Amino acid sequence: MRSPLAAAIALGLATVARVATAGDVAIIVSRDHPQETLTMAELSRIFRMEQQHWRAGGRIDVVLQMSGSEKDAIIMKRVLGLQPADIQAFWLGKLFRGEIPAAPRSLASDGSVKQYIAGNSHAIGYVDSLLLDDSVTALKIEGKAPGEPGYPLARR
Amino acid sequence: MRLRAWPLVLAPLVLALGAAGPAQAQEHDVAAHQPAPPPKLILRGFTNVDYAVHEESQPNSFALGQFDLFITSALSENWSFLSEVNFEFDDENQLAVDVERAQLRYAPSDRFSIAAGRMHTPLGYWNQTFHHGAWFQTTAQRPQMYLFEDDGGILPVHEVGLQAAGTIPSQALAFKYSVSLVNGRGRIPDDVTNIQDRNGSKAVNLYAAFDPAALTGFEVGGDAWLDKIPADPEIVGRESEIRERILGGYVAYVRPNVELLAELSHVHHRVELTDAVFDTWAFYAQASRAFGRLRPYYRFDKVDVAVGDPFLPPTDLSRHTVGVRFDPMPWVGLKGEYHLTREEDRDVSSGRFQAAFTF
Repeated sequence: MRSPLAAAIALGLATVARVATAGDVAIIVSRDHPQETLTMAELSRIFRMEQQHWRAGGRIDVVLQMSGSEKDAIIMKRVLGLQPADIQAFWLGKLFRGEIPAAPRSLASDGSVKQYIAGNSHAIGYVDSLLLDDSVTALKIEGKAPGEPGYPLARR
Repeated sequence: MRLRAWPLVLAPLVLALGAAGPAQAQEHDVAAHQPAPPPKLILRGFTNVDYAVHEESQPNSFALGQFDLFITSALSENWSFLSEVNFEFDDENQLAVDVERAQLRYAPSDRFSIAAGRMHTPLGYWNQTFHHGAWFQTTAQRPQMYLFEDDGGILPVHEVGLQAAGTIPSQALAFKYSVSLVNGRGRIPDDVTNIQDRNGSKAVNLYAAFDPAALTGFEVGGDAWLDKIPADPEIVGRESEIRERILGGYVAYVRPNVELLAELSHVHHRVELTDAVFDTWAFYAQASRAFGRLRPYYRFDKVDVAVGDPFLPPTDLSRHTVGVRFDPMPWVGLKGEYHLTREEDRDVSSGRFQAAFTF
């Protein structure tokens, strides 16, 4: 049996480790989604709606957030390759050229994104990895899960 | 031409219908459980107000631009509708209304979609990227080679018929293509054959482009248009049909702060009765660089219509355009540009100020 001191130290170390590796931007899909991993190039094509169908079939339902958080800035810069000020014009241009039938939906919070994606098997979105639970699946990006060293959507 | 063209359009359709099986099955399953919601209409508007200085030897004038209503609607997961209705005034200040685009599209996969209706002809870069709505484009005016048919343009920038298109991605690059089978040109360049082709042969347009993954924003592409222009018995020299072949190519590098565009088009006409041949060239190159909300730009245009071409308006023009665009807010672009145009061995200076916006 461990002493209370050892248990406290273990708990503290676990907490520190969790804080140190948490808070990345997790790309999520519904639990019954067949895909488990994406490359950054694929992720970028999906979020820019250059790829609009899953490999297994079905139109991809991209879900964005427009809260102005650091998490949104990471998606804008590393995935979409855009400045936040340019995003609306970007979608309008794609609409105008007939490349997309509608701009992606935008939800207000991680909670609403998780809830929507849990119930929509073709949807993909992003949340803070601290808030992951078993209602959704976090995709590996370039073979790395959120929190792993080298994860491309880590907060730096 | 007509018989050979059909397999080009039908082959990708057959392939795509086979590939679309799982997606259609899933869509059917969903539809069986949920009533389909009614389509949602998205409406946007684009217009501009200009001030033209010494253009085409006319008095300086304020000018309303095209008032463009853009309508789109996703009808279902794979079906969508898109249209543009344009209100514009001609040189006599008379109002004209044009349905510039009206297309129904079925897109079961990224690799294949098919659209029917009136569309932008997939010619090069500009005609597919900007078209109506001056707010989108950096400059106040379009390149001379892409002037609209009713403004004296030499290219068939609209088409009416069927268009198959798709994107095939790979690790190294994305390959984009389209194949169009459409009504051909009318008896004059401005005669877009919306409801009645003037002869039985259909025009074919092929387009392909490559977008390398290693160089974001770079694209290179080309197109080929083949048509038979109908005879016009009322005009001397137009007693027989004209074979038309248009070949085009472009390179584009577009990043948020940098825009580099260059396009070349070659229009070849052969009069069937006499075998007389006419070769027309058109070109433009444009560069711009954004410094915050300010974007200076430059463009060089060249259009050289073959002397004696029985179909195209006589044009031998080169133009330098220097200007600056300022975006005081995201949906408004203010532009001022100077043109130095050499036409018929004389230089003409002109200018245009423009407030272009979307609402």
